[in-house]
Amino acid sequence: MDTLLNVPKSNTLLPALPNEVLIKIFSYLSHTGIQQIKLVCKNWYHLTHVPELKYKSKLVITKENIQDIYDFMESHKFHLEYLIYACVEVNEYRLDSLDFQFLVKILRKLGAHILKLKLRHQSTLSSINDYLPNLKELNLSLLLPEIRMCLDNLVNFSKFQSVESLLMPSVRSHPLLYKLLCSANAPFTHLKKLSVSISDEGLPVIFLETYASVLRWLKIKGGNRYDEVGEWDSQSLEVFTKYLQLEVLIITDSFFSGYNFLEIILTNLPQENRLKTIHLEERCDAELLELVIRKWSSSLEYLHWSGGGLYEDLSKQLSMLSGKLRYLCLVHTLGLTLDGIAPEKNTILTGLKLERICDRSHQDRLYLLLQRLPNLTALNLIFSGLKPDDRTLGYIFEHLVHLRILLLNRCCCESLGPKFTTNNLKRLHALVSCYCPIVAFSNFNSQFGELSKLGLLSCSREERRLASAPEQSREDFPALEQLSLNGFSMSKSQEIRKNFPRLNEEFVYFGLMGAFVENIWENYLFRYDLRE
Amino acid sequence: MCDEMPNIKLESSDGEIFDVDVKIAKCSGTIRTMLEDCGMEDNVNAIVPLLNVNSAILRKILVWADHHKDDPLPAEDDENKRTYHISLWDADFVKVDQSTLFDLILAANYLDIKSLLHVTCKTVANMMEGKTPEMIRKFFNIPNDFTPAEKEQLGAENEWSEEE
Repeated sequence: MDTLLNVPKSNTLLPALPNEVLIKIFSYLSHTGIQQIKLVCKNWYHLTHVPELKYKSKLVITKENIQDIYDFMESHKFHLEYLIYACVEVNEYRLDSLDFQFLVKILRKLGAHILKLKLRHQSTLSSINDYLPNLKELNLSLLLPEIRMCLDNLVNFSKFQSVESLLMPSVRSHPLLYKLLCSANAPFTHLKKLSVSISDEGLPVIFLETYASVLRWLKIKGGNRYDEVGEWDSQSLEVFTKYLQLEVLIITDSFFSGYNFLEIILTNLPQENRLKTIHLEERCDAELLELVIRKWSSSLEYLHWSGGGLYEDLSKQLSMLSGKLRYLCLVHTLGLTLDGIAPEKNTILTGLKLERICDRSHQDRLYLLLQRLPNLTALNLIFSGLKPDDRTLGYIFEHLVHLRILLLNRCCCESLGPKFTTNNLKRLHALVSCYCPIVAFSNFNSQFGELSKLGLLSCSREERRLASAPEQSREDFPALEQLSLNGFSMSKSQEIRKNFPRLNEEFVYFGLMGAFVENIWENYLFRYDLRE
Repeated sequence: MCDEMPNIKLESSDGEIFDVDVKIAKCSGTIRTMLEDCGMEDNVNAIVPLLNVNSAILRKILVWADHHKDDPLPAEDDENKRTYHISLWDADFVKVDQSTLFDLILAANYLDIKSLLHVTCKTVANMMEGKTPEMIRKFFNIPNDFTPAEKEQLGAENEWSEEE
């Protein structure tokens, strides 16, 4: 009798899961992952358009797709949600006047849903001024210079009352825009994040003063010559004594002759600011680092430091932050400071970038250093001058299992080339290196299943390596979106290119490694900054 | 001992009765609400029918709940930050065949066990990440219901968006 009651063993299939559960599963995927599952079946395609699966993606409108997007919008009037993204970027490059009309129509239609907007043309912004009631982040950092302004069509900043994040152009020559910003009469009651260039004519001290008590994130781009600084002198820098809530401070292009800009700012800034991030691009001596440590060592997690001064002093100061910092970038230091970065095992540091390190005999210390940093998720040595040897490469691929981003210089090549047995970097998202570490794995199957960005540098071992490379690469980079090749001859580049048949031509770059690398790292840092 | 930690009875969809420590049963948000809302807490003889969970899965779920009985409840806003740590034990627990894994997901969803739902869903997501649509269809046995024309249109649509 009992056997009759037995329910047959269930045989649930993935598509049988309720939509809410499928959405939950998809929410763990990366943007690339979501792009792939969108093409699996119709139901999944529809599911991927729910808002909670779109926060990792942004709509990017360009000359290439604007007509398609406009047509889609016109033919899907009742399914506008397919085009709705909280984050929208427009690249107006090469748009003609008809495209521009499409653009304005699209943005006006979608405007109420846009929370983050990045534009390159002022005229786009002024045309949709009244259609962005919920805008939280306005990113004008790539705005083109004002060549000729249409004076009856000006940006009205007072329309963006709910903006929390305002990123003004980083290139100079936007005097009118800055004037408009200042004349908007302090409308940004929610402003938390601000990026400005103070070498622009017209940004008065009072602007920085207005938001001194509320800003949490501040990026200042200085100028190169004293005469461009306008009213910014050591007296006006007293505005920094009024800052109280700052957590992130980034100062770039700060070389001013005559007085020490950085030192005054850091001295003026009260200790009450719980600074988590300090990013200074100008060379500073160890004394200034001592000041930073004295005031903010308990809150500091992120440090970008360009080190002048003596190696011993810098090492000593840095070692005080070891075990506190989660991210460290060191530029221009004399010698790889093992004792500064990791005097002992350092499990807290997850991001490390070294640049222009003068050190001829670094091989052993680099090997030791990486052994002391087991939790690295991002490592950038590409412009460090440091060359990992085969032992170090083998160690990285076998033991640094948390790495998502790995940017390496060409390897140093004494031997025939390494043979590695174990690749544990299954979660690698971006990789730049020579071919050597990649082809060193004899068993190659889906080793790099999540890799979306790959940069390859030629190195002197490449001749031998490439002979064995071509057939292997085809199926091993299923998630690859971008490929950059550097230092190879044109014919060799084409040969390598053939190994990635799925990649579109526009996502293959030749010889642009600098921009490629910078983009990967900036993206990573951008996320870091957002992690409040 | 029973004064403090009474047992309750859970009935699986195929009629098996499980005698379970209330503390363990309360890993499930659904059971927690049932007990609190229906005032069943005092009634030690109550039988809670779980219509959507068979005995094999319920047995596994109880192993999970027993292992995690002392975990703090996740705060509400934790849910979106996805900061749960997947322990080795958890990873081992979900090393099961696909249909068991999906049954666990359904049960975790029905019983509202957030930690289990997180681990199981993340496991399935990991199986998808890094695969092409064709590989995913093969892996999970999903029919392709797109026409070639639709496929082309969707491919174009994918080029409108980038990683944020």
